[in-house]
Amino acid sequence: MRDALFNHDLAGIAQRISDKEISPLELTQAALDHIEVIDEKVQAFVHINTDAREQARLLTEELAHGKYRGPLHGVPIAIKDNYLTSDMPTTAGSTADGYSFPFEDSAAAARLRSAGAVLIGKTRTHEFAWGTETPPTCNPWDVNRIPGGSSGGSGAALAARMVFGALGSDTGGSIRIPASLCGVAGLKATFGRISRAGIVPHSWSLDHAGPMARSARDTALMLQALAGKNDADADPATSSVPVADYLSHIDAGIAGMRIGVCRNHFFGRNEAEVEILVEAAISDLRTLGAEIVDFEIPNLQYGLGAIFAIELASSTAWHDKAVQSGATVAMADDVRTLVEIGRLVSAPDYLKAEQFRALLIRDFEQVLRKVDVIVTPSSAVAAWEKGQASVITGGVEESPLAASWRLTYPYNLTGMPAISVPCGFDSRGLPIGLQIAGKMFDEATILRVAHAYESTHRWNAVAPDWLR
Amino acid sequence: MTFSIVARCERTGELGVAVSTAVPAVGAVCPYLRANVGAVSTQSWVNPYLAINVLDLLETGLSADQALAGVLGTDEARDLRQIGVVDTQGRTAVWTGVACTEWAGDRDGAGYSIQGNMLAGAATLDAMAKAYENSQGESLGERLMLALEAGQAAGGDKRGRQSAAIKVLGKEAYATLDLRVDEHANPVTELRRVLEIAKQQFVPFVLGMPTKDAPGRAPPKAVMELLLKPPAERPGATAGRFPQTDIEALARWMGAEFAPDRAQQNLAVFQGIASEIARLRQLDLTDLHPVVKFEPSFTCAVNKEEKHA
Repeated sequence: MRDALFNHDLAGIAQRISDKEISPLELTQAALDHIEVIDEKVQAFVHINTDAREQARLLTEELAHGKYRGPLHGVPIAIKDNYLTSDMPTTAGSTADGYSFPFEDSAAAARLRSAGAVLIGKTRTHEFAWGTETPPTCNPWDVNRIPGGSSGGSGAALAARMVFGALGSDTGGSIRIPASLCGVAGLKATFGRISRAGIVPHSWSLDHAGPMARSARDTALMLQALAGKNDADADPATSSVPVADYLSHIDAGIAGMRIGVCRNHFFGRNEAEVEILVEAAISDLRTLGAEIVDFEIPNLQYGLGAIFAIELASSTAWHDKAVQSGATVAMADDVRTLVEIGRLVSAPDYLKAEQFRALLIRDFEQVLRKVDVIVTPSSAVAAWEKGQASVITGGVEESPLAASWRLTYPYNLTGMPAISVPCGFDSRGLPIGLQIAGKMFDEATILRVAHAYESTHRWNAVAPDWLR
Repeated sequence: MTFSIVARCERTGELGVAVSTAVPAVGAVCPYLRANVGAVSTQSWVNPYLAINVLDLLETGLSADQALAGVLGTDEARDLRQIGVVDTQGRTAVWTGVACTEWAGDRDGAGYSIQGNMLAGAATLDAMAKAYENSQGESLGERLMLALEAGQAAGGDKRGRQSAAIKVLGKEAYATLDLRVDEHANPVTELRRVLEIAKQQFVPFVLGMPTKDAPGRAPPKAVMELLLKPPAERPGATAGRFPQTDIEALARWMGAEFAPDRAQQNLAVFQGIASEIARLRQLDLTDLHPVVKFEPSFTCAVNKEEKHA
């Protein structure tokens, strides 16, 4: 029962619901039972929705009366714990004093709810989304390793087949890193594509919302429900650019497409097997009929200073009351330091970083006049062990944090859409991710490429041994 | 309102006073020294004449005890006074009036007396005594400075801090060391900074001055060469560097005063980040105008869902 149900991806389970082979209530009950068994080991959830059965019962009734809301109808979806929800508490992964989060739906949670999703629980985030380890969640591919972060709970819940979709948020890589390290798909939509209203802020001009799921097609299904500006949208950054159809051309293949590969910054400082697997994926894309175009963007060397200046300063501004009151004392050591040192970033450096973003956007725009999408690895490293102090990338030792977000933060600076999909396993059996980025608001094209690539190996269909 | 030490060096016979308080210009008010007579710190609600008269009595050959007893009888407000005395034989005497503001007290040691009032607690005096006792190989000036630093670190004046001074006399009628910080956020720290410069640029100068035995003495050549240089080119110069006190002020202005147990870690983490940000500063971005957008609206400013309690 468990295997049969939970080996489906979102599109697959949606089909069974619409075919009335299983009801939302049966599926939700099975998912709750499954989570109870599995999550003891994985610890992806911080809260399970006590109202999930009731939601599923109502959705089952609706279906019986002929109302079908669409592919999310009756499907258990997890919500990252930094999205407000009306029926579940929000903690943003913190117990620090002075924060209180109301029981109200964030725009994204409301969108999923109205599309028929069963909001089954809240997944763990690295505290205040400021890190890439997400303790105490374990990576289902090796429970002694971290799942990545900050949306680590969502990544682990998907990898352990506990849900069919999840929300993530991404300020420097927090969707794509756990997607890569957990072997699932994670899409950071274009800045402004999905409303961030009701997401606990981290860095206003870098925060992106997005779906995580078990396939590129599943993220497209979720994006279709999530994209677009709401009436009286409380997120001033939500864009009014018309929402595309993300599904109708997803199967169109990539023959004749021009795929760019950024050869500086994204290569040369990765774990050796990451480079081997990503080169193989690039070769697969060529086999699928795409033309591969190598290019370089030298200005990427300035990106780290820029994202640090913006992210640190913004985070400290939002947390200012806690910094001043001393409430940071209750934060995890790493998070406390980051929240406090934003004070040291000067305003001119912050604004210069914003100027630099304009430069970087111009550089990528020039490239994207000649290519349709850009592929790179998603993360320089596979999942590292809990407590591991350093990793080896390109023969150089560095901190896991420094390595983990190097390949993702450029697209937070530019705001371009980017997805991570699995592209194989290293010799330790750990998943590796391929990152595909595209033009502003052109999620449809990167989803199309991701889906075409996925179809070659179906890496995303492989589950950890202990779950099989 | 003050903590101080008066002492005589048993090796050199030098006399000295070091003092700090949360009033400006303590060096002009509390220490009184006379060569080959004694050293006094008169404090609390200060009566300068107590110190002047004690020195007069010491000069007649009275001991520290006798001299202090002799002057206290003349002061009707003696309960408000605090005074520490050391004479040329290392005998000490100390008076802490019962009306001195709490916490007030004194510590009498071999060749020194430590006294304080309006203190955070007794720990200030104990720390000073320990620092003085534990530094017997050092010069008197250094020992007095160490005592002052220990007193400040243990709490010091309970109102805060404002000025500090140190003065040492040898056999000559002029001081061999006479430094004052009259108004500063961290006067003891600043006094240490000045002392370190004085050790290299001032003490050798004084040691080369005419003496009673050699009234026509010319300055040593090395000292002349040293002092003909601009201050920034002399040994110990701190011009162009950032004294700790300036860094503390900058941190205060930026709102970046970290908890004492966090400062080192926070700075260490930021050090690597600072070098990345510095790299960004190399770029000439004059012609780029980012979207830093002001959008007047009554709806976008506050996201009502997130609030600090």
